[in-house]
Amino acid sequence: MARRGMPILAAALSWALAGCGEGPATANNTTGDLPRSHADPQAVAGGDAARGRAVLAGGTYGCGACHAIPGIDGARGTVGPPLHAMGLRAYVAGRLPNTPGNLVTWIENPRLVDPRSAMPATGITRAEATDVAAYLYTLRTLP
Amino acid sequence: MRGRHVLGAVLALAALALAGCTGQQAVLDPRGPAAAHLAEFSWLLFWGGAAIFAFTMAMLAIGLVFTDWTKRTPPIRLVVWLGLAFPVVTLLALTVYTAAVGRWVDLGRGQDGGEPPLRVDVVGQQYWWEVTYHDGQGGTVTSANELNIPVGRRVEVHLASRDVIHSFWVPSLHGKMDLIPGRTNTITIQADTPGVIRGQCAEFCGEQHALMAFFVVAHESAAFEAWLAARRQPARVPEMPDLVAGQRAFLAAGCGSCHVVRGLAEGPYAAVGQLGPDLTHVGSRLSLAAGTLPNGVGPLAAWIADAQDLKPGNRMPSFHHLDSETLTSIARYLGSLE
Amino acid sequence: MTNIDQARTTTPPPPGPLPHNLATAWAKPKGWRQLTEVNNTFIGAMYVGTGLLFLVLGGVLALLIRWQLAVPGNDLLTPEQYNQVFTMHGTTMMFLFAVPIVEATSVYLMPLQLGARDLPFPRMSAYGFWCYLFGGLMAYSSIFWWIAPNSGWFVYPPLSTDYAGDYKTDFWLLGIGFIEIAAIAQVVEVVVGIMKTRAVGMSLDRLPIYSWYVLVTVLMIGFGFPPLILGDILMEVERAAGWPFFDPTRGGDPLLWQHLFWFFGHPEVYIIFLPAAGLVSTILPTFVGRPLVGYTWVVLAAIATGFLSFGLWVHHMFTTGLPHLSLSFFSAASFAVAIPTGIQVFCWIATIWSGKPVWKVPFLYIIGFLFTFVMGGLTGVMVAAVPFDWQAHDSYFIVAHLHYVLIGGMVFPLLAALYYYLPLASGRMMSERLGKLSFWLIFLGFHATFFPMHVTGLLGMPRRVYTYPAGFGWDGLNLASSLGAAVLALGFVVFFYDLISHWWVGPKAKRNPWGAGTLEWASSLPSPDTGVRSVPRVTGHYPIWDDPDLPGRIDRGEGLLADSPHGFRETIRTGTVDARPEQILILPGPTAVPLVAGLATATAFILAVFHLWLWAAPPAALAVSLLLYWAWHTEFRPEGVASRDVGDGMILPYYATGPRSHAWWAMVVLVVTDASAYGGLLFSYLFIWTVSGSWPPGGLSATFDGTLALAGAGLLLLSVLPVRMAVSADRRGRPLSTALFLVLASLLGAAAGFLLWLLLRASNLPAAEHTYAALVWMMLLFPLGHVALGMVMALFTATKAAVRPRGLAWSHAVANTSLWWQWSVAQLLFSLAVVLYFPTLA
Repeated sequence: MARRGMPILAAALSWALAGCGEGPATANNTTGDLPRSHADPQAVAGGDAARGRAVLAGGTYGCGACHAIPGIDGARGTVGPPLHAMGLRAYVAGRLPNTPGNLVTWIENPRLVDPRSAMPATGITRAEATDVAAYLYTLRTLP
Repeated sequence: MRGRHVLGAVLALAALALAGCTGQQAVLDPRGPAAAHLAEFSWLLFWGGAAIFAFTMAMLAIGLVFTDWTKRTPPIRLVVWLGLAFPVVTLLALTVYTAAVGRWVDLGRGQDGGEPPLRVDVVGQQYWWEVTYHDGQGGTVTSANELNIPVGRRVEVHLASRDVIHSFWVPSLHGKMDLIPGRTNTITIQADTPGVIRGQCAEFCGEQHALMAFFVVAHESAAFEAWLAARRQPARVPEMPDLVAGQRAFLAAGCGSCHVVRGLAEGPYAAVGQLGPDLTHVGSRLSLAAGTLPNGVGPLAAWIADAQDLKPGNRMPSFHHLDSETLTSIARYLGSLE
Repeated sequence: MTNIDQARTTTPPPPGPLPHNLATAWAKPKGWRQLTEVNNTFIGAMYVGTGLLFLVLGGVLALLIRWQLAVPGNDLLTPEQYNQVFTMHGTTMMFLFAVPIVEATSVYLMPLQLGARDLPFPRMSAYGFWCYLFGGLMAYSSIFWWIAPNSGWFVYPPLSTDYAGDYKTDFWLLGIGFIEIAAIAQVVEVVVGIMKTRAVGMSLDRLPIYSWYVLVTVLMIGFGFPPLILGDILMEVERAAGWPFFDPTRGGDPLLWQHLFWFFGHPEVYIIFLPAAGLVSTILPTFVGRPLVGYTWVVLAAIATGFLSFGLWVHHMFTTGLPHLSLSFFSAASFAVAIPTGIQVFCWIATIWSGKPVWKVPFLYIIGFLFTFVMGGLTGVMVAAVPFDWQAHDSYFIVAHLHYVLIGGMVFPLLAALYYYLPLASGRMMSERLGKLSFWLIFLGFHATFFPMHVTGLLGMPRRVYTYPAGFGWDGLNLASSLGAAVLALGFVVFFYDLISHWWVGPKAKRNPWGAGTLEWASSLPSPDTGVRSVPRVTGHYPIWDDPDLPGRIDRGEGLLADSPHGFRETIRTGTVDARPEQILILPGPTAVPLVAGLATATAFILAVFHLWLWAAPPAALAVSLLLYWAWHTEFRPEGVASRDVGDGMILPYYATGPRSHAWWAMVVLVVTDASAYGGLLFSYLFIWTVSGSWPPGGLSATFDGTLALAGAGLLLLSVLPVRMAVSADRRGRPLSTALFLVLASLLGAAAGFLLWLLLRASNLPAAEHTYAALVWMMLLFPLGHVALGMVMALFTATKAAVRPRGLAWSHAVANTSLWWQWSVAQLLFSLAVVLYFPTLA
């Protein structure tokens, strides 16, 4: 566990003093020089990565209780898969091609995609799911 | 445990961070009469202490700087007046004032003619709070990790413990009172404005002492009565087939051997266990696992599947042997218990 | 030019060579045999060094804590690891650093200041030190395997008893428990040292101020530690044998532990602070060139602090739901202790007013101390106010407060003392430049770390949490604390670099380098193993300021004991009040017994933690046999040498017995401390009575056989007679009768013990089932253990009196056995009366 402390400390430096406000709106994992896959954050129509990050960081739907999500403090769940490089993945849930629409649908209501999935519909709205998808598309690095 | 250790729970802390802005937890942000007196007293002590500190340091500085002048002063006078006389007088006054503050914040004292206080029993255990309301007609309603109270009315909280020593602390309402096994302590609190206030265990109680929080939800009087009436009902009977299946799965998985769901006391798999929190209305609570996670179907599923990784050392095992559909259906069922 | 100015500006001439017989008597063994040295300068220096080692070890844990809490939701440590780390941080700092190092400082410093050549019982200091070193390291090492105590440094039951898992709490109880016993050894040592081995003319009113403070401190240890040792015993018995004392489901009460712990725990704070205040009172006058203002005031304030500190332990329990009236009493008592503190602070400020400061590093640390400690004292008054404490208790406000008083009140003076006194040990000066750097880093780092915690606490953050949520305004404050801790740590790195390197690169210290007035600076540097070259006559609080030529006169052998014609290590025993020379004490020389016995004791204790009883038996047996071997060789009495001329025309005897002897004093001090432990047991019995509805509680009924009780009590009373007759037979020089009387007493004791054992067996009280039963057993077993020990002492002494070994005497042993025996009998009779008759009264 010790090795995790340092980067967290560094990442949190910027965040810790933010107090009650939302965290900084920019995701810090965007690296422009990676090859673009078929997915592109701009392509999530109506999605705002900053808002999506706030939804995840706010924790209302508890996404981080199951998933490790880069850039979200404390999101280190191990129930589901980690969400590194979601912007590069070919498939969502091992079933659907990773298109913005599919991803949003999956986040909003996993049972539509896979009735046997352990991921429940958390009650997230479609608009929020769109923002979250936009944020996830900014994740383009593997750990 | 699966040979790795994950403190996923802390994600929730981020969640509660936002709640934190509304759910206050600060001595200096009082939301009730006792805490108001205490905050005022804190400021008085702070400014008094600061003044004495500044004065003492000034005396020291004079001795360090104006050495020729100070050499001419008989130094023992300093000791007699500042070291002896001043503290004696100040501390005598403070003793009297402290005793007065102690009376002001003791809301449990008999107040003639006032409304009798509402009684709530809180039982602490590793690492959550069992809360039992007395509705005044001899009935009780049990819930967990949340104290719903009417504003403007005194609430007499009876504190006991089922295992180790805990301490009940809602800084925005009052000071601490310990929950000691074998004893029952009482503290009387009162909130003046509706809203959510956060409290936390303040006596070290073991591995997850840090994740033993709770919320005080202050309602307007009528809203509180409505809330209590709703809580008196047994658990909602599921109608949608999906939720019916969830209920069946919940009972079949053996959850009822630790948890109570009122209305499910019959049958081979009854939900009558006394080890974990009462889940009759779990869907309506603000948080899961004593402030560890936000409430919702997602966190419920996560908690059921992975309680030991989210909050290592708590009493609930991780149910990661449940198949995915069972897991989500139980989570949906529990989420529906509002 | 006044005497003081003259003394401060003149450097005494280098001393001539020591007389050969004095030098050989005090010569330190070479090579590894150095470790067998028992002289206070060696043991004291090792002791201080070990204390500093534990400061570093505890500090590393503190840094882990601050790293973990730097940001919300950090996972550097798991919750369990964090809990072990903070528990061991507190435990290490309190029990392995703070208390030992204040004792260590007095072991090193006090004989030099008193004009004694060594402490009166050098082997006992050495044994205490080795126990502390080995036991402390073994206890600390539990953290490396993550089996360290994990329920906080005050180990509240039932968390520590029923919920802590194997070993962890046992490490605390056994590791810390026997370090406390080592501390009791120092109590005996220091009390007798101050009372009986002073320079001629150093009457009580001329006692160096530091010795007053240390005397008050060790008396507090003597009264405060034994109840905790008793509590440790009760808790270990509860954990190991299942006898309930703190378990409410079987009639016990967790609050009993809190009373026993804090009855020690609050005085503990002053046990740590007072010696540091003594160092301040000693060092400060040197840097302003004027005597301490208000010597009598300061002495009385220290004594008052000692007394009051035993009356306010409940202020750690304000939130346990005790009645308001008793809270108000303890609140007022806690306020009251601020008054003697205020007096001391203004005595120091007045001393500064009376002179002109010299801004050297030790003085800087003292100013840092005043600044920090006054702040901590004021927050102490705040938390003594019950309603405020309801909020502050167990929050970060308390964390801030306790570090202000402990680091501000104890570590800063300690650092001042190290800068000031290290030339005594190394003969070299530490660096002014590095010293100033380390001071500012430590001072600023300290305040950056701990000041924000006041606010964090008032914003609602409880202590002892391994993580905390963001968004309560705690994040920035915690980060500030963590960054401050890094600066603080850097300051200590600089300090330790300076400390270690100065041994090689520091400039040679001239004699009395700071121009001090107290006796420890009269010697050449580094101070010789002999202590003072010859023991001077003292006429005031600042002997060197009184007589600038004093170092010269000491060197020229104009004092007492200027040589050692028989080649013994000797020091002078003086009258308690007036310090008139009365006897020459022959002190033991180098021996490996304390070292090996200490190692064996520590090993036995640690193996006992793991319940490896069979493995623990050999080291325990080794330790006991070594202690007996050691006891056999006490009372060295050279044949044909009864007295000698110590100088100044004074002829003093080598041997003295009875109430004038240092051994008699030692036993009295031991009995008094032991009485405090017994008091703790009695308190436990009465406390459980007060919280039980009826007595005996829970439908229990005890059937005590009156005849057995009466017969046992009669035999016990009877046994006192032969013991006293043994003493008078020994006085009349009849060793054989002495031996026979002691054997007779042992037989009577054994018979009485057997009868009382039958009484307990027949009493129908299952100790493992109810607290009442467990307490009855404990009330009788505790004094029975004393009687058993008394029997060992009696038989051992009888053997010695019968064998009459050449060169060794046994009169002290007889007198001390008698004291111990009578005390044990009194205790047992009292216990019997309470156990039998109290239930009928209650």
